[in-house]
Amino acid sequence: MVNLVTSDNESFTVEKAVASRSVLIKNMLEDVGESDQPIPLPNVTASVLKKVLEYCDHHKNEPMPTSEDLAAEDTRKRTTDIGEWDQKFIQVDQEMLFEIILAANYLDIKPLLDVGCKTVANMIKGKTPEEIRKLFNIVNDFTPEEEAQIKKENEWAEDR
Amino acid sequence: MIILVDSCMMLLAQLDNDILTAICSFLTTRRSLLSLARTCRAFHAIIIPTFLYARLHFAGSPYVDTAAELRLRSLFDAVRRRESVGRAVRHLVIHSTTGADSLWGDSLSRMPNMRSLTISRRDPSPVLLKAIPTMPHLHTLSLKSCSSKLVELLRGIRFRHLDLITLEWYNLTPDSAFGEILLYSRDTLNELTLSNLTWCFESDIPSGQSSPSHDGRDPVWPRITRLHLGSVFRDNTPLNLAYHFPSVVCLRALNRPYGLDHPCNRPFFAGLRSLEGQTEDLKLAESLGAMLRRAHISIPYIVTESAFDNLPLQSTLQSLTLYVNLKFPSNSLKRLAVSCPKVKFLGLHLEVESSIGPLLETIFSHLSDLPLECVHIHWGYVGKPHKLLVSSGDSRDVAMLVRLVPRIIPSLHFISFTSPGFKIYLRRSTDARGVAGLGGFTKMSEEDGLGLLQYYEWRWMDQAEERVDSS
Repeated sequence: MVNLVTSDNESFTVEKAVASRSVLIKNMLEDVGESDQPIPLPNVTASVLKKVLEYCDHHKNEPMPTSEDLAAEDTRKRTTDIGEWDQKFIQVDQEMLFEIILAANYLDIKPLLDVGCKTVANMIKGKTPEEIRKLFNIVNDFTPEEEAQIKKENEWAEDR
Repeated sequence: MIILVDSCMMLLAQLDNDILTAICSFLTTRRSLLSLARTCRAFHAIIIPTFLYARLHFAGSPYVDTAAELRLRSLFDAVRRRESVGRAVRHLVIHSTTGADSLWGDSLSRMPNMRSLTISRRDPSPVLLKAIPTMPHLHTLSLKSCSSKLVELLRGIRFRHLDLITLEWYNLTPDSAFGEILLYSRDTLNELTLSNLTWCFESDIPSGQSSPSHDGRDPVWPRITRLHLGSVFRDNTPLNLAYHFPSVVCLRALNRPYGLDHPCNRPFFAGLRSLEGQTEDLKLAESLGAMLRRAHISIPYIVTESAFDNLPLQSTLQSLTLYVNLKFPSNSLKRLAVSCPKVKFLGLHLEVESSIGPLLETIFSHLSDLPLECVHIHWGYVGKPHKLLVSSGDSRDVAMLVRLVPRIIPSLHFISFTSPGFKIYLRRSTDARGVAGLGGFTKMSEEDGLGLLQYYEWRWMDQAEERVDSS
């Protein structure tokens, strides 16, 4: 078992197979060897870690992504489809979604990072600039002249 | 740029650039990228030019489209006006350059960071190609019909993927430009097209040596995994694919070179996992010991069920795509569950004369015993003038079918139906617990649907391991 301590000082005891979905923790465990010392995770709060561990637990028996999988991504032969369990898992409010993405990035859990990024990308797809601004509380900081210029310059991109 | 609704709230634009870049990488259409870029300065800075201009794909139509042409002028203007725009272009696909050769030629010369270039028009003008030697990072090139003189321009480039077919018949000797390029790219090439040529490399393993030496001198391409083979002629001895291309797992047979059935090619076929070609190619591969996971077969002449039964469809197949004509006996599909019971992806390209509805019903009723995850059906209408190609009944037929399918094939996750002027992509809906139920399918956006279809079409090609689904 592995003991993880969050930034808000909550402690989680989980199976090694679950914690090792995080490449960061996996490497730490390999470096330290067998030890009862708790692992501090100063960038993750308890509420987020709980959610991340739920993901790791569900996927604990799957093979870790290999360098070949990562290489395949270079060719863009990848899907923005999200597995059914993952889809349900990632149905959270925006703040939690971004927190999960940050935690997955910090803990180095590539498949979870992908699920988070795909979810945000899927929220953006097919929307107009105004709809995206509204969805993510983005303020338009272009001047009207700049906006017209950008639209004109990129006319070629509007057809597909 | 952000309204802080709540000072503690984490917001999209606060994520660091790496993560925002990752998110943008999942946006696959220009329109979505452009919409995000137009929201605020921060996204504009990330997306333009890095994302929007990095991959340019112009699927031109054979007809002159004035609106598209005018839009394209904005691209030429942007490239000419700002150096950063041209430098951002990494991948470019052009189908037609009608009337714009010199504009394209000028733009290409301003794109020094190009990685992959496809020009699919016949006999591209030298004006277009003259910039190629100024692209030091170019590793992928597709020129389906270019003058053999232009091949000279490519000397000294180390390719990973070369899809080059010359207009004139080519004598592929080690000293020819093409031959020299191939030898120079020995250790980098992983995908290659050979067609319209005479293969003049030695196929013989030097005496006293039991296997080819891979020391850099022999005409052996150890990293090529995908080979596209068209009209290749060879004097006297058969083309020894196993010797020249020991690692190929995907073969696309454009035309079958003479002599492939020679016993020396048995190890080559035994190593294949994916085959694209005609019925005869499938028979040959099977007879030489291929154990295919993926087959993409054109079978235009099968008109009887027994002829279909004789197709050597292997039990190892997990991805099967069939191109068939109007006379294809759809009842023979019921045999699939017996001959290849592991098929998870099925693609059918059909021809129909009238409403597709009844045919779709027949097809799905025969697929119930297969563990299918994805079905893609494409149909074209024959015997009708172009204007009538789009059947107004397609939507209705498909809607009816979609209500039935979940009960027929419970494992099905994704369906794609396309015909000229009609496209619909559907994925299985999940219930409140995130479990796929029998509740039916929901429509996906064209962007996502096309992405998922391409994923399934690629999935069993050449990966070493089969992925485990995350769901």
